Amino acid sequence: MDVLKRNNVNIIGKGSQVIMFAHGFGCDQVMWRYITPAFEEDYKLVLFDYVGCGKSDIGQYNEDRYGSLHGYAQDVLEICNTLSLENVILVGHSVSSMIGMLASIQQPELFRSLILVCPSPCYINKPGYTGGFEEKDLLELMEVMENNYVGWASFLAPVVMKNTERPELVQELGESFCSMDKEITGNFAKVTFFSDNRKDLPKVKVPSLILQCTEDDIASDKVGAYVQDNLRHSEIYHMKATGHCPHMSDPEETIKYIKQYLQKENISA
Amino acid sequence: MLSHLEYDELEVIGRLRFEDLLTGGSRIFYKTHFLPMLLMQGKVDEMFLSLSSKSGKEYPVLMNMVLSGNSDTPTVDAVGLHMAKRNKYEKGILEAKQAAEKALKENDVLLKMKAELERHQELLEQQLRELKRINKEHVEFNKVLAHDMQEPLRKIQLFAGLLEGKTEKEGVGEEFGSYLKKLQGLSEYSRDLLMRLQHYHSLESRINNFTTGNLEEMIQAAISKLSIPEIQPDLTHLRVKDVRGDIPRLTWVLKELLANAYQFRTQGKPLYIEISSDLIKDNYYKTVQDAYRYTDFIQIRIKDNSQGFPINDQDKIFGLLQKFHVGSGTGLGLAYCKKIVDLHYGHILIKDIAGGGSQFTILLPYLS
Repeated sequence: MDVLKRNNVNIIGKGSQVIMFAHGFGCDQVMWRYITPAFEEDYKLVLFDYVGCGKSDIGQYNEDRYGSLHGYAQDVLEICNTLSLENVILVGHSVSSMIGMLASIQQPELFRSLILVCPSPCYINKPGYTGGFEEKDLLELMEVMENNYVGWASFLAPVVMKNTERPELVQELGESFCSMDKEITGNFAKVTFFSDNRKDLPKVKVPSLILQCTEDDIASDKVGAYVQDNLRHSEIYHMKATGHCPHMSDPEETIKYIKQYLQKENISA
Repeated sequence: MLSHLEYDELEVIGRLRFEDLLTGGSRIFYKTHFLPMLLMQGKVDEMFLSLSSKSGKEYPVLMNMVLSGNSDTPTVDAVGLHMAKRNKYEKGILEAKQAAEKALKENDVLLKMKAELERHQELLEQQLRELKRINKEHVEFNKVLAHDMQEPLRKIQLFAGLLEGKTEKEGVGEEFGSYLKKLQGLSEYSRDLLMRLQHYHSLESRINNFTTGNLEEMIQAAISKLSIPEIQPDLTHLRVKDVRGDIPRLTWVLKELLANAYQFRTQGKPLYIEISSDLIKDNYYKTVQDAYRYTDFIQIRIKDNSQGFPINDQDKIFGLLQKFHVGSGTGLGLAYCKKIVDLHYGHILIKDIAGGGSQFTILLPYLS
């Protein structure tokens, strides 16, 4: 199986120190477009799509494998091992922060540091922990997604028929940015938002940086502080950027902080 | 619209963000999917979102958004359409569709599983038969190793001894004597090797019942067996200590790996060994393809500053009778380690560390 094709891996940049960018739920690697130019000159940048997102090979989707964030972490590790990457700096957005942490727990020697953009180990409120959402919100999310991805034209039966031939899942995703397969995205949403990885945080050995946005409803200040408290070698930068996607809404500030961290950690190109 | 949402203007303008008006689920999808699309491609068409009224009533809308203004003060132009009726209708169809899809999928899944089961059963039959054959061969082979091959060697040694006695008495040349010595040495070596091979070969029949052991105690036992003062591993990173298996044999593995680190220590450098352990999740299925179940494994790592191995081929390093350093043992030690770990359904890997040294990683299913 061709890992590089499966995950639509793209390698750019002129340097040798590797920075790997992992996109979050609901998007694909194109989300890093405003960030990568700032690092192309000095680093080797590795970009990819998770199976079912962007231009990945949907035929490789396996419900059991990707029914757990560990399956996604396996993708990250397989890409690193296939390309013989070492000393990787992994920049992971949203759920990819957690996926990156899981990958680093399994093979810490592959990673030099983790840069966690808006991380959360658990989105659901639990006793003594404020994740920000109730189960009800997440069921609503599934419904909203359903509503947005109904194949109205082919409604009256063909959709159902088509699904019986689903194992290959050969259907092409649209060319537009953030295109995704409805069923896979539904599963990805479930595994993203229903996972509780709080117990994994103390197992992370690789040093990490948390980029915490202002007014982030998906991963709040409280959650960011929780992540920092439970990661051994971590620091947190509070950004002026608001929302959950600073690399798109405020790329300059995001670049500035990443560079500042790399410099502080003595990671030169 | 405001009246539908039960807000008055002052409560909203300049106070609430657009996302504050969304239901929790819509907010997640808006912020993780639509907003990135808006930011990257400047517009999004036909978003279905649910607004939430002040008292929590749902207000479904279909919206288009365009990014306008300049980069300093970006603004978003949005138009929306309330679609309660249509939404109700859609919901009805959706539910029906979901039910149909679910039934179909379940049926589909069942049919597939049945076919898969049949295929597996066939495969199982073949493999069991194969296993039976191999087992029988194994037993016969073991007998050959233990007796049939030992005997001629023993006799060669016997006759060589007789010959030696005779030549000493009758004083045949020195050259003749040295050939005899070599012959004796070689046959002794072969016998020894044969015995070890037989031991290795019959290991599975001698594996003990699995019990639970304490990793730190096992390491201490291995150290005291070796009684080499330089072997003082750093154990501060042992984070998981429960090990399940044939504890004496796993202790032997630890002893062998520690002895290995000592034997190939870098001259002129104090020996440093670090043993760490962690609980990790890994796919239980390593042989069955496309099967995934992430379960707990204890990962034990033994890191040293020894010379490392001259090659990086796992199969060779753990292969039978491989010797990488002049004058090192029989070349069975690491093969033995691998076999013991394999018999625990675990894995052993070796990796050279950049800057000198090697690291053995042992993965064992955790307490299962």
